[in-house]
Amino acid sequence: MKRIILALAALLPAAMLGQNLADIEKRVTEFKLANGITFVVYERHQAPVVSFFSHVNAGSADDPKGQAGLAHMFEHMAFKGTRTVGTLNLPEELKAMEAVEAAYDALTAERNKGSETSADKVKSLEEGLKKAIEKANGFVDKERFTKVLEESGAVGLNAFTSLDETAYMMSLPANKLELWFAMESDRFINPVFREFYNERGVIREEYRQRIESDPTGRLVYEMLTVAFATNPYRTSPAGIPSDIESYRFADAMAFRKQYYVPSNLVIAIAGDVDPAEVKRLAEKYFSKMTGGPKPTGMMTKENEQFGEKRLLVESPSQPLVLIGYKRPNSLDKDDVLFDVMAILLGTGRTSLFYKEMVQDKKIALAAQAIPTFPGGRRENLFAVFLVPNAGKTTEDCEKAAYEIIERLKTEKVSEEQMKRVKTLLRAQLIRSLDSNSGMAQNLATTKAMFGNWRALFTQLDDLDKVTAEDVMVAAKKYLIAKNRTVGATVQPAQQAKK
Amino acid sequence: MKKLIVCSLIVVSAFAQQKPVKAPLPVYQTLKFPPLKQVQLPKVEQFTLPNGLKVMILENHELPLASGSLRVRTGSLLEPADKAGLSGIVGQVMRSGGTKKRNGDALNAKLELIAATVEAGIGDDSGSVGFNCLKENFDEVLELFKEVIVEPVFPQDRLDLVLTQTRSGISRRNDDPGGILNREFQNLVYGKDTAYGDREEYSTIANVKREDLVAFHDRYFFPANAMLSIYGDVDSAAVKAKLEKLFADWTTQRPAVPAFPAVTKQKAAGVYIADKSDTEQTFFSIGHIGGKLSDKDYAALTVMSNILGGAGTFSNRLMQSIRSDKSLAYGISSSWSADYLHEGTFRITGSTAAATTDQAIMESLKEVKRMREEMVGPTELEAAKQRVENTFVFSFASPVQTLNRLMNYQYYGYPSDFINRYKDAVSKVTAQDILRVAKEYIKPEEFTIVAIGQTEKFADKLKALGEVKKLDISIPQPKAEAAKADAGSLAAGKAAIDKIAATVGGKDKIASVNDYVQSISSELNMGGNKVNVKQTNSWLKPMVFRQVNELPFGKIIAFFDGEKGFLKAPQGEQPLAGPFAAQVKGQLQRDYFAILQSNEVAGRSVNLVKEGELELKDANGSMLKLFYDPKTMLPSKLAFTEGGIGAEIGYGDFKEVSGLKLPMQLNITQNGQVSTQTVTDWKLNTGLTVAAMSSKE
Repeated sequence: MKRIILALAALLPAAMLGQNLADIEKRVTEFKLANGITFVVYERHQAPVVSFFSHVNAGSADDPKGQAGLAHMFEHMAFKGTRTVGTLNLPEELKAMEAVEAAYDALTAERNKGSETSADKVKSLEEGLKKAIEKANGFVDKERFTKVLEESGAVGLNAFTSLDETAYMMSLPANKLELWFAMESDRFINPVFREFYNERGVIREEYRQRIESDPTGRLVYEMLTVAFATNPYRTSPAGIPSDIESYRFADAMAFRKQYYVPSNLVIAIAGDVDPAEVKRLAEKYFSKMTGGPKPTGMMTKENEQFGEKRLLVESPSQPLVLIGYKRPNSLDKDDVLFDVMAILLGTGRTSLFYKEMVQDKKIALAAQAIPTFPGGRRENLFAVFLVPNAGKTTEDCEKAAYEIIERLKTEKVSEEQMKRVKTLLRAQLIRSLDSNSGMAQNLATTKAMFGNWRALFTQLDDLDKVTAEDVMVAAKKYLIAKNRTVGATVQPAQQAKK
Repeated sequence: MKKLIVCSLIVVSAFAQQKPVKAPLPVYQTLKFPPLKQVQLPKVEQFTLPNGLKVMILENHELPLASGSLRVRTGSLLEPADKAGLSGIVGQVMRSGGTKKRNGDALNAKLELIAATVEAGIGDDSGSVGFNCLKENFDEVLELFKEVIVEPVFPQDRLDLVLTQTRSGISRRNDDPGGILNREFQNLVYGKDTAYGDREEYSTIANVKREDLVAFHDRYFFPANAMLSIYGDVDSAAVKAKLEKLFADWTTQRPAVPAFPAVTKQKAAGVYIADKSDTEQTFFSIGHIGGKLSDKDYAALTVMSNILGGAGTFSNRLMQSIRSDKSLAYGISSSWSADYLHEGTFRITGSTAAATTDQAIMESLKEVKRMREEMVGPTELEAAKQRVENTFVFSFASPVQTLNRLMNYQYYGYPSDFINRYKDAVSKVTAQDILRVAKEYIKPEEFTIVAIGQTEKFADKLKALGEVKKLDISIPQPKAEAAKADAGSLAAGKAAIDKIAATVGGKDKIASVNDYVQSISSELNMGGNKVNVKQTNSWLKPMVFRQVNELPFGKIIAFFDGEKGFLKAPQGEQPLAGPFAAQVKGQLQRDYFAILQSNEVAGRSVNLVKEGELELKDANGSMLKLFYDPKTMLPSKLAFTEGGIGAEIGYGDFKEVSGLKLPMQLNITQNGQVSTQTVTDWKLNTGLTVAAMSSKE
């Protein structure tokens, strides 16, 4: 829980941000429905457009064991429609969908007979399942949910799944506000997971594209499994192929029952809206949403790491190296120090990595630091991503990066560098106010993570207090070999040169 | 029993096609929406400075931010062919190199301290320099912005950095199949050797010198050739006064810039493929040259393309047919992408599993045929128009969009209400219009079809579409700079080789070496771990080669017969062809005995650069440097480039074997790393046979 707002006038060198927070507070309305759904509304009347961001507090870290990738399925399922949108005949469709499950059950039962399994019977049951799926698909009014929104003027219609959350977003012309409420509430309250097994195949294809055909994707995927021994962050949102290929409709329903509940939902709306009207529509459309208690999710923490971990991924394309240092979650008092270190090391042409590794010594083509990876709710990684220049190796990059990181522990960074970092974070926040969709996302995720949307601004208070000495202490504490996992791509063994 | 089942199936499927039965109307169909508020177009202040610079200013006081952009009439379309890449480099070094008043590092520090940016870039038909800052730093940043525009210094060290990075980029351009597809498609439809083709190569980059950057900047960056926009929490009158003062000394005058070249349509119809073995999918494109934004049928063409395969929506025909129905592709789309001044392309792009390449392409062609033969349905047409109509407001969501649009239209000579005219034209498009433009503008017989992927899995099946041409996507290697050569130095070079050969053991003895078997022990650096490798090399005149590497996890065998061969590892076997074969050939040409017989190699010249240094140049342009110790007349080092990267082999620890002095220690320097190879055994003329060498054990 972030601190209460301090007297802003006393805090900041430039009055501008204080002035802005006061302005912003006037524009934000927050309310909670009786069933627990939180709404944060940000008024911006510049243009007659509105952006929406629905945050569900369930991500891939909540995938049940044996069902890795399920949260990601939801992202896809959310566009398949509802009981009234996307069907040509609901009663028949539901019957046909039940028949699909019965056919799948029969197939599984036969397969599980072990030595008694009849290959012929399996074949015929597989045919039966295929036909049942085709029949159910025959009742689908394809892409109706998406079409309705796009033809009404929706842009940026999208969703994503991260380790911590699943989010659904779009922007609409302001006069279509009620349309959003009607459609969004419908897909939370009355979803129909039609074309489930087709979409499961698409998820599997996506894994092929993102992980199996992309060296960076593969490296990140493997990195997570090695860096995290017990933390649920160890399995990427992309899932596990064998899990993907086996989860069932009932699994998805169970996941929905547990996680898609009102108390787990934070919705932000930013743009040309009247908060009173938003509240009225929220009551009208979302009040009927019911559900169980706020889920607690897995309590498993990361076991202590006792030494550096290393991994290699064979890839014929350009070399890459990823270094991750274990760090506490975003609620920890040291959180802001990681943001500071990331900018000092890797953001901008005067950052230590860029100036030395990219510009002066030409060891790297690119060198970046990511303060919170892959999510902030749990213990995670301070990550460094390096791309060696032609003629240089991943080892060259590692060596150079460690030299710079060691210096961070023994030499205080200059006052100028500290000022640069603080000004940048402040300016980034101001620039983010220029986007409805950006604001909607920031407000919803901040509210969900910290319990208070103002933390978006009051985090700058913590930032202001950081000294060069604090940076040294943090570097010494966290950026050590024992905390480290290093992943690199290497050329496949066949191509080892003479 | 059977009959009953058949009947019920028919009943069910008929049932399935019916409209919703007694279902409640979805809520969205019952809603009535209020009219959308009209967007008030912001007022842009426009004027021209005495020096000819056109200025536009738009105030927005919502946030304490300011930004600006200078647009310059220039572009890669105007760069000389033999220096392709120059304009992009100018854009980068203009900013990174700093100005007369402060160098690159100082400029970076000053800007980053206040979280401001000044960036420059040059594209195909325009160049720009932009800035972005907090309102309180506006004056300061405006001055830095002006410095970068007017007096960049283009220092050699920053140019060198960009050149290195550019060369790295070239070496990597075949890493990504999508990138290969784009480049090859563009080069085919626009012509690789035209201004619109991608003709940046190592050789053109090598021609880019500092004076070229200075000259390019001088030619194109002058006030009458530029437009400036300023936006944000500023006061127009105050800014005007500031600009008049600040840019008063920018008085450069130059002749008017030439017009951009026209696009010349190429004869590029056909099927073209290129091999990329490490992708699971084939990346393909189908299309030809398109049109301009100013074409009278532009609106109809975009609606047509939207229905066919508009990106960003699932509800188009290509997605429905190829992804949803047939599961042939994860992504497929089409676009009629027009440009302001020159013709764009009509292009369908998708990716599919290698085995279904022909199917995905055929289905795409079927959809094109359908679009050209059948009128689109009223629902489809209405849906496409609604999408354009209802999302129109997003083109005006921020005042800066209006400013940028105004600048674009003025820069390219388009009417200021072009976007409104477009919207009106779309609302009037009929199904007949779409059929007409599909027939008139989409010419399947002119299609260029490009497919990148594992060609052995799809090349044959594509023959059904016509002759399949294989593209050579290999990256032309840079030519090293040769030293001056004349009859004297060439003769001296020849003589030096003779002397070295004599010292090693005699020309005839060297020529009589018919084969050898060499055992090497070396330490390889694999991912930070040092690994011991036992390597056995076998060579048989003239170019038969075998290498066995024994690593901790297994044996790797390579065999080459002069043209092709195989690579066998514990994981599996693959043919040794293409670039790997070229690599092995290169290695053999650098072999110790081959080097010593350089005087006998047809087309090879040996040039004495100076005492101890010889330059060996072959007819195909490839070059090596052989260093020798003038005191001992023994070879000491071989230097060469492979893939744009330099490498060296040092010879040491000479021992006599069968009357010849052979180096028993090889110091390989590559990628900044030195590795030592110890030759533990070297036997000559052992009676090798091709059969024995090609064994897979």
